[in-house]
Amino acid sequence: MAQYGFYFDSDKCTGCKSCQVACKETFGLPVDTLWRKVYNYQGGSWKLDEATGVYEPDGVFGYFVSMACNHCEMPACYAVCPVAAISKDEDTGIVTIDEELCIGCVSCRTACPYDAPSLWEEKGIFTKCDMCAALVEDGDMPICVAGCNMRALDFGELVDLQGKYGKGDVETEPLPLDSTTPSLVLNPHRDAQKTGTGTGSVVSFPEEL
Amino acid sequence: MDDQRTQFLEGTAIALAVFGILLYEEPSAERLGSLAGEGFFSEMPLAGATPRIDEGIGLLEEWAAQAGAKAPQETAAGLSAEWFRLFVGAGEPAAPPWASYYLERDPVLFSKSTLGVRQHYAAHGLELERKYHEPDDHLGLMLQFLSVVAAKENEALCAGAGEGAAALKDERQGFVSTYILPWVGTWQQRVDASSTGPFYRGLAILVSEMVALIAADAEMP
Amino acid sequence: MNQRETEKGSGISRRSFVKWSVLVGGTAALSSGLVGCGLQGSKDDPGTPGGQGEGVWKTAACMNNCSCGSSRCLLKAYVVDGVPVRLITDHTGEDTPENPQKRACARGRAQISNMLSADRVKYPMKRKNWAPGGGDKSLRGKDEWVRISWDEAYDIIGSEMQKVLDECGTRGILSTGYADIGVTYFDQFECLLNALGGAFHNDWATVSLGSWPLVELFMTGGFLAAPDSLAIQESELHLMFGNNWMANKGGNTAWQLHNAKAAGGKIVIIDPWLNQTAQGVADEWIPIRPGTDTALVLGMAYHMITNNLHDQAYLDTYCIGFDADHMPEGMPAEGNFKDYVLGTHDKEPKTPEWAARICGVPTARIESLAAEVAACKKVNFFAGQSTTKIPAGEMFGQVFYTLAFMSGGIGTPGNYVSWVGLHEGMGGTFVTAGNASNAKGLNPVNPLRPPGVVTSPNPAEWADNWDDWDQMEYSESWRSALDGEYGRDMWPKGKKPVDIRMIYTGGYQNALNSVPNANAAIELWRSVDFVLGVNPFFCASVRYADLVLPVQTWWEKFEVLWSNNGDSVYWADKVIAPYFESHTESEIALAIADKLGVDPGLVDTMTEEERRFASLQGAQYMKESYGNYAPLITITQEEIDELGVEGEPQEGLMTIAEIKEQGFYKVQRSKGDGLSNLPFAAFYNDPEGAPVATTTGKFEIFCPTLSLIVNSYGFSEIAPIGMWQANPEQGQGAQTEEYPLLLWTPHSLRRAHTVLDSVTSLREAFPQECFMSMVDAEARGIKNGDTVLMSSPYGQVLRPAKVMPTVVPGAVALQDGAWTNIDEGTGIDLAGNPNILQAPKASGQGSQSWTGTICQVEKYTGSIKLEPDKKRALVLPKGIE
Repeated sequence: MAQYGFYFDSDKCTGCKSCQVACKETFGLPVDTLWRKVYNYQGGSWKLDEATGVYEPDGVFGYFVSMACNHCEMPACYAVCPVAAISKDEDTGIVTIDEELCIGCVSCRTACPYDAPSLWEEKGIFTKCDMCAALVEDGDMPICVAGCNMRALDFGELVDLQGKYGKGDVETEPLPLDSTTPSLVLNPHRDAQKTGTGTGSVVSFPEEL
Repeated sequence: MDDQRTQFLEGTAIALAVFGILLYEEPSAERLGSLAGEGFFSEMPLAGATPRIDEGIGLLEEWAAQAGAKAPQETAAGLSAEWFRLFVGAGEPAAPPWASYYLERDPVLFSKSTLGVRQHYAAHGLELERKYHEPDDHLGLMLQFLSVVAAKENEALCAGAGEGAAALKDERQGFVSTYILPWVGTWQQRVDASSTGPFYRGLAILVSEMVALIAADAEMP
Repeated sequence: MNQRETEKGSGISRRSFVKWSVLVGGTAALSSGLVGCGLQGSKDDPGTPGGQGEGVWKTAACMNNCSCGSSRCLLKAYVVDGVPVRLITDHTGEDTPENPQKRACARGRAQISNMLSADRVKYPMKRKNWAPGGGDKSLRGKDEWVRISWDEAYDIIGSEMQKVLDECGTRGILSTGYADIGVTYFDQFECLLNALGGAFHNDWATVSLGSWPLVELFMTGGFLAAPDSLAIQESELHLMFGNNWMANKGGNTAWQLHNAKAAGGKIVIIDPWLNQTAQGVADEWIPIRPGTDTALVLGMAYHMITNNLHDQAYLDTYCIGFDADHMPEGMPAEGNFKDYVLGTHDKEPKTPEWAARICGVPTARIESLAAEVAACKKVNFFAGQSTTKIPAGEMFGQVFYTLAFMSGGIGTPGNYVSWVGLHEGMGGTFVTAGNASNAKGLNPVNPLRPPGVVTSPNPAEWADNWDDWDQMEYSESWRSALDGEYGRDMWPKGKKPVDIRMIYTGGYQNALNSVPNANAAIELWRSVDFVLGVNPFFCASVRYADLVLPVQTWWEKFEVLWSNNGDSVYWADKVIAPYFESHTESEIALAIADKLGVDPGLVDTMTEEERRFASLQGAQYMKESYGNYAPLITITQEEIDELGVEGEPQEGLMTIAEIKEQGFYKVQRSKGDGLSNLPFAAFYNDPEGAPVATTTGKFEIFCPTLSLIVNSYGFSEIAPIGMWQANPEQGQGAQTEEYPLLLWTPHSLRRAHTVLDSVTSLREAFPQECFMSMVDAEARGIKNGDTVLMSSPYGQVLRPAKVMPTVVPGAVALQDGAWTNIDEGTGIDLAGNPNILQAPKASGQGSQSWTGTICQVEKYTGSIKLEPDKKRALVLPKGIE
């Protein structure tokens, strides 16, 4: 059994959101439904030099985190779904929500540490990234990965990604502590803050996420 | 032959055709002339079927009474501007009448829904005069299409072709459930919110109710 | 009991059936819109060979002006029976810095949603309350609309235009499109106007390039010199003033910068905010107050001079005007740059302390930055176009080039100075399509165009035929047209009269939205006799028109090969049928020409086949060495005959069938391939034998040609050397208690200028925020997400505030291009178009001062509820009852 995963290089990402919009436009997601989103995490402050009137930045930083579904090894969504609508594919490790079975109870969304399941209001169900399973089966890359303008995304078997990029660190603000073993190799930004020690905040509006 | 069924289908076919035309076409003095004055709308097929239908009829009767007192050209001009604003738009109209707008990523016209609807038309030897230039899935066109199907079903019934009639009924209900029902309520609310007069407000209610009846294939009272 | 009740039991009355069925001409009759066809379906579809369900891939033009020619990317649409259902971008084949895939950005990905938007204009239409001469003009922008026929439209246009022509000739028409139509975006209506005698235009100088053109031309002798993406890998330090390439240039530009970083370059970005590009690629960010880069550079120059860090030998050999010993003959010695910096004559040394007070960069950092730049042997000096979009913006261009010359090495690998960024973005033509717009050279030029120098009138010649030309500068044009005169008293014959009776807003422009002082534009739109709008979309400019015509996009027009930036050419397939009743520009122009009795041959100078042929025949690629071109496309005599055009067969790299199938050609590069051009290398190697094309043959740090010409326009007054000047109305130092903040206007990935603004997925990704510093927000009790009112002396907008640590205190940003949406009750723009706030401040050679408008931001306490843009609040005039 293979486990496919994403690689994301936060040290390079410019928050252009081509990944998010490519996915959204291709799959015709309605407004408010996103299968990949991009967070902008920023921190720092400013000190005023009274003598000169000049403000100096004090530890000001900012970076982006692009996140879809991490198709975790121990998916929290799978564990809580009351109608067994969620499954993890044996051959790929891809976690999928069956639209026919989903009753829209919000449990998966609540449980997911990465907010991956997204409400499709009109259908009354939750949906999420499926790693472009159909394309992957044909040997192609997920759309977000193939389209990244900064080449900050990669895709493949998790072990191969780890071999190529190292283990990375998913415990990077604004992401939570690892409780589900996400299939993600995240290369933190040079100014990244470790989860739990963060002094910044997500500046993105809720409507963007 | 089920007389009630026939009457339902006949009445439905006629009502759908009228509604479809009134939605799709720019209002003209010719068409509106016969609608103005008293009594036309209250004699609509399926009048009384639901309280909401009567509500719609009431609004249209209200319009008819006002229109009856005016010259047809004036009436048509007034409704024309309203029709344009609601269903065509300088840019985006106030109550877009195309299925794609609601069923696909909004606010796009021309999408998979359009293709699906087009296939249904083609299967009955019909196509949009302005095919490729304008969307096939305009509500006014789809109602007219349903009218054709209802009439065909009636024909089949009267000819004793039970299976053919059943197939047409299935197609009709499937078409409505897929391409109209999911969004007609939203559309009707937008018409209600944006209308400045009773005509389209009433028409939208009637359309919305009719669609629901057809989907459920309810009989007339 | 009424009749209906008695009939309930027995079913519907036959009588009602009859009444109703008469209306439709019998039961189940085909009535409106649907016609019979064979059960197979129609054969006249726009190019789909398969049956239903089967589709074809078509190359879909992503041609919109994505920030000045810096990137165009590949789009392919899967079209099923005339409906594009899926879009992909370049994703196969090599993807290296030498030969990157041309991947679309978020905007390209959303083009189906854009091109098929319900927001497009569908039919010709006029304002309900329009009457000949304008009717109630105050209703423009809030009137209802009525559909009209093309015949009626052309009748109205013909008669309204004829009135204007009879009363005051073509000068009575203000056309907001480019007069001398370009190669990619061409509107034959402009040819019609030129054929009639030329309309008034406001395209003096440029809205895009800032003050750079004349500065570069006169100081260095060239135009658009820049390193390409392979060349920048040679640099060890990238000193970048105002760089947000990801949003400004799109495509691969930011990625190529990352590649330069990976090759060992250090990226320093000096910008009012730690923007998205900088967050991705910068090694260091230096916050700066918008519009004050001149002071920063002067402070750096002072440090270099007083510590002897500058390259004196380079300056002596290649430059004029750096110090008293190297001034041109006949010029006062004390006009040199070095003495200005030292304050020798004006007693104001431009020390780092002096600079810090103006630009907000701490003194110590100015000094260390200067030392760092001086110590580095391979510096890529870059400054964004916007850095000179300030009053007297030439001053920054002057000091910028001077700094680079002081650093030395310009003309050697790794040392570059440019404002273009990457050569292939603009000016560097590695491959180009042929001229579909004017290959025959027959397009009439605008008779009213003044004699020019680059994009500005030429003061050496403009007095010769003073009354024969007319051209207004963009930012003052609305006010000038309202006032009836434009220009300056100090012009050779003073201000020039302007009397506009008609506005044409077409030609790919959305000028009401895109030029400073939009409220004045609205006032002007509402004052003239007739406004004709032509646009695919119901954008702000046409919303305020009297009559609007729907025009096709490049997804609907004829097939052609096209290009805009220099590294790729694309095929434009017909992706969709003309949307509703939209026409082409040529159809519209010819119909109106007919009404006005103008020779159609002057209006539409080439047939579609000739245009297609020209675009292919004239396509060239750079072969083996820089500037050496060869035909790209192989064309046979058979193909020429098939098109029915005149021409010769030729050999190229691809056949017509191949370019159509593939959809594009990208330049093939490799390191050392001979296609890179090292700017100024010839001059560096042989300054005597290969002088630059300036008046002295050297780089002119002291450039009297520049200052003479610029000062002739009267918008600014500059010196022959770069000198800092504060402006009393705009920029650092002009702040007041009422307007204590400075506005600057970056680009956004939500739009390409104003195009794509209505697309939901883009509105969701980019909410059109007021970006403000946490310091200023805290002082005003504003939290992230709060609705804020932004005010300037010229207007107000309402937006959600994005409060960030990454914005320099004292400045706020609003991105360009949001479609103006005025709340009629309050006059506040709810969309956040920065041009509502922007001062109409002309500058220098005729660029606009986009940066540094004074403004205020307050937490909004009024009654308007602002919904997120993605919810697409519909604002449609219900009409006047």
